Amino acid sequence: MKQYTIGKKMAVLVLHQLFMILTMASVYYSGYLFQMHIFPGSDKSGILTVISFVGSLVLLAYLTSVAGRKAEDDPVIYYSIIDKIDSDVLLLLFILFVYGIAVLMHGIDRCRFEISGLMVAVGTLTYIIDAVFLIFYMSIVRRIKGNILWTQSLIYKGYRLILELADQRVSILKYSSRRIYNVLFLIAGVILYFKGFDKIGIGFIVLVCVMNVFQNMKRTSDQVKIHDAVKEIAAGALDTRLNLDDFKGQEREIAQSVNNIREGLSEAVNESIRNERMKADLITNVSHDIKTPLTSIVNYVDLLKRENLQNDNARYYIRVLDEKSQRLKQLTEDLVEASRISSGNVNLDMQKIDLVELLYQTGGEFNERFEARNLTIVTKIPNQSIFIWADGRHLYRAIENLYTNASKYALEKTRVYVELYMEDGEAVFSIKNISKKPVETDEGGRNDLTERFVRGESSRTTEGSGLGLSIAKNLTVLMGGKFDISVDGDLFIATIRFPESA
Amino acid sequence: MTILVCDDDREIVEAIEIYLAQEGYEILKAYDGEEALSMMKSNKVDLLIIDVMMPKLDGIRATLKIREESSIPIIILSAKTEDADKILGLNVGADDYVTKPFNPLELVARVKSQIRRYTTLSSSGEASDAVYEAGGLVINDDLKKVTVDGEEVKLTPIEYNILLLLVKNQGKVFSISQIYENIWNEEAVGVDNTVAVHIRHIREKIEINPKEPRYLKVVWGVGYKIEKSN
Repeated sequence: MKQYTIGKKMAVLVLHQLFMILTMASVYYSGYLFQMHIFPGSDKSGILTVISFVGSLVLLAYLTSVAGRKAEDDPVIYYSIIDKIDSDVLLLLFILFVYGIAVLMHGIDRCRFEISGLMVAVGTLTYIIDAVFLIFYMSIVRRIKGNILWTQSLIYKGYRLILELADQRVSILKYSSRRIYNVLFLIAGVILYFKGFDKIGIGFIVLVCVMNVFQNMKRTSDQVKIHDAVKEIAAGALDTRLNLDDFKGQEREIAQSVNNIREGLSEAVNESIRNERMKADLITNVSHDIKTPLTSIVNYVDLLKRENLQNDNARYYIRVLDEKSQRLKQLTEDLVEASRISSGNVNLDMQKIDLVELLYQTGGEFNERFEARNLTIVTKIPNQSIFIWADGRHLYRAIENLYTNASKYALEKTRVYVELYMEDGEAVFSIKNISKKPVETDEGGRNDLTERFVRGESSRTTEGSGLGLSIAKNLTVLMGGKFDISVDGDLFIATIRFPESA
Repeated sequence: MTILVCDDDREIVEAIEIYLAQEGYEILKAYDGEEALSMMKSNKVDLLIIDVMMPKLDGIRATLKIREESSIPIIILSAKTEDADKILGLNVGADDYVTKPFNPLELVARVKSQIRRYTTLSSSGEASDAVYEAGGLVINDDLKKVTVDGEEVKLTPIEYNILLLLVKNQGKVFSISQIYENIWNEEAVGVDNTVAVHIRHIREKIEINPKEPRYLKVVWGVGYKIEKSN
C-alpha cells in the first residue's frame, strides 16, 4: 500500500513552488529584456518558462490527487484546520488576497528595479501567492473529495436556518410574542432616553428588566411543576392532573401533552387490570360450574364408601376416586384464590401484627403434622415482639403455605429451621428444609417455583396444586413485603421480609 | 323433624336426603326457590338447606322472603366461596353458610347443631352467675361442664381454663403470653407453641370445622378471642 507521508507531500510541494518561481522569474526576465529593448536572439528563457510551468502543473496534479489522503487505498478524507472555515468565507478571503496582490503587482510594474532586485521581488511574491493559492486550492480539493464544499458553507447554513424557521414559523411567532413586546419596550425606552425624555426612557428600560425577571420566574416555576408531574408519572402515580389554567404559552402545550401521556398510560394500566379481573372472574365462574358436579362426585363416592363393599378391587377403586376427588376440590379452591390474588382483587385489612405471636400460633397449628412425618421444627425466634404492618389473615395464609410446603416436601426425619430476625430495619422470616426429591431448577440455578402450577418435581403425582408458593408470594407482595425462594442443592429456603413498623 | 332441601341439582338433593335420612330426619325436596317457598307454606318445616344459584328464584331472595314470616334455621349451601358471598348470605338472614363441595359429615353436624340451638336455646332459662354463654357455646362453671349447641364437650383442665378465660371476656383478644400468665400464673418467659397447641385442640373439640371456627377465632399475629355473641 502506497503511503502519502507528510514528508513526501512537502517535498513535492516545495518542488512545485520552485517550478512556479522559476516560471514567473523567467517570464519577468523576458519582460524586463523586452522593456529594455534588448532582443538577444539567443534568449532561452521562453523554453525555461514552458518547461518549468509544465513541471509545476504536473506536480500540482499529483498534489491534487493525494489531497486529504494518507494512503492509496484509504478512502477516508482527512481534513485540516483550514477546512473548518466555511467555503464561501474562504473564497472571499482568497479573492481579497488576490485583489491585494494585484494592487501590489501593479505597483511593481511601475517602479524600475534593477534586474537582481526585480528577480528577488518576483520570487518572493510568487512564493507567497503560490503558498496561499495552494492552501486555498488544496482545501477546496479536499472539500470536493469529501463532498462538503456546499454543506460547509455559510450560504447553506443560512438556507437551512431559514427552512427550519419557516417550518416552525407559527409557533415561534406565538411563543416569542412576549419577547417581542420586551424588545419593543426596550427600543421605545432607548429612543425616549435619547430624545430627552430620559426619566421616562429609564423607567421603560427598568420595566422591561423587571418584566423579564418575573416572566423567567414564572417559566421556571411552571417547568418545575411539569418536571414534578413527569417524575410522578414515571413513579407510577397516574391519578393527578396538571391544571392547564396555571400555564401559559409553550408551557401550557407541554402540560397538555404531559396530561395526555398520563391519560394514555392510565388507560393502558386500567385496561390490563380489567383484563386480569376478567380472567379472575372467568376462572371463578368456571370453578362454580365445576364445583356443582364435583359436589355430587364427592358425596356419592362417600356414599359408596359406606356401602361396605367386600370386593378388594372395588374398595381400591373407591379409595382412588376419593383421593382424586378431594384433590380436585383443593385444586379448584386454590385456583380461584390464586387468580383472585394475582389480579390484586383482595381486601386488605392492614393492622399492626406481631410476627413472633403469629409464628407461635402457626407452630401450634402445625406441630402434629410435622411430628407425623418425623420432622423436627427448630425455631429461632426473638423473645421480644417484632411488629410489622400487614393483614394477619393473609399473612398467615402465606406462612401457612410455606409450612404446608415444608410438611409435604421435606425429607422425613430431618429438621426444618424456622427463623425470625431483624436486618436493616426489616423483619425477616425464613424457613429452610431438606427437600425429599431433587428440586429441579434451570441452568442459572434460578427457579420459577412461585409461578402458578410449578412444583419442584416435574411429575404431578403427589398431592398439592402447585399454587401454594404463587399464592404466598402474591399475598406477600400485595401487603408490601418481599418474597424470595432459593434452592441450594437439596436445601430449600423461603424468605419473607417486611419493613418493621414502629 | 322435617328438613327442606332445595337445590337445582337433583343428585345433590338426593345425596343430602340419604345422609339426613340416616340421622332420622324427614326430608322435603325442592328444585328452585319458588318451589321451596310454596312447600314452606304447605308443610311444617324445621330447617331449610338452600342453594344460592337456582332458576326462577335464587337462594338469597328466597331467604329474604322466608325471613319475612319465619325464623327457622336456614343453611345456605353454595359454590360461591368468596368472603363477600358468605357475608351477604348471613346478612340476609341465613344462620350458616356451607360451601360446595361440602363434607357430608360436616353438613350433618351443622344441621344437628342448628336444630339443637333452635329447640334448646329458645327454651333455655337456666340463668346462673356461674353460667357463661357465647352463642351456642355454654360453660357451666359450677359443674365444670361445656356444651356446644346442647352437646357436651370433654375438655382437659387447661383447655377448660383457657376457654373459660376467653368466654368470660368475650370479644377481647388475648395474646399467647397473656393467656399463659393467666392460666399458669407465672411470667411468660420464652413462650413456645404450648398455648397455640391447646387452642387448636379446643377448636377441634368445640368447632364443627376447626379451620373455619365459629366460636374460638384466631386473630393472626395478635392473639385469640371468643366472638362476642349478639
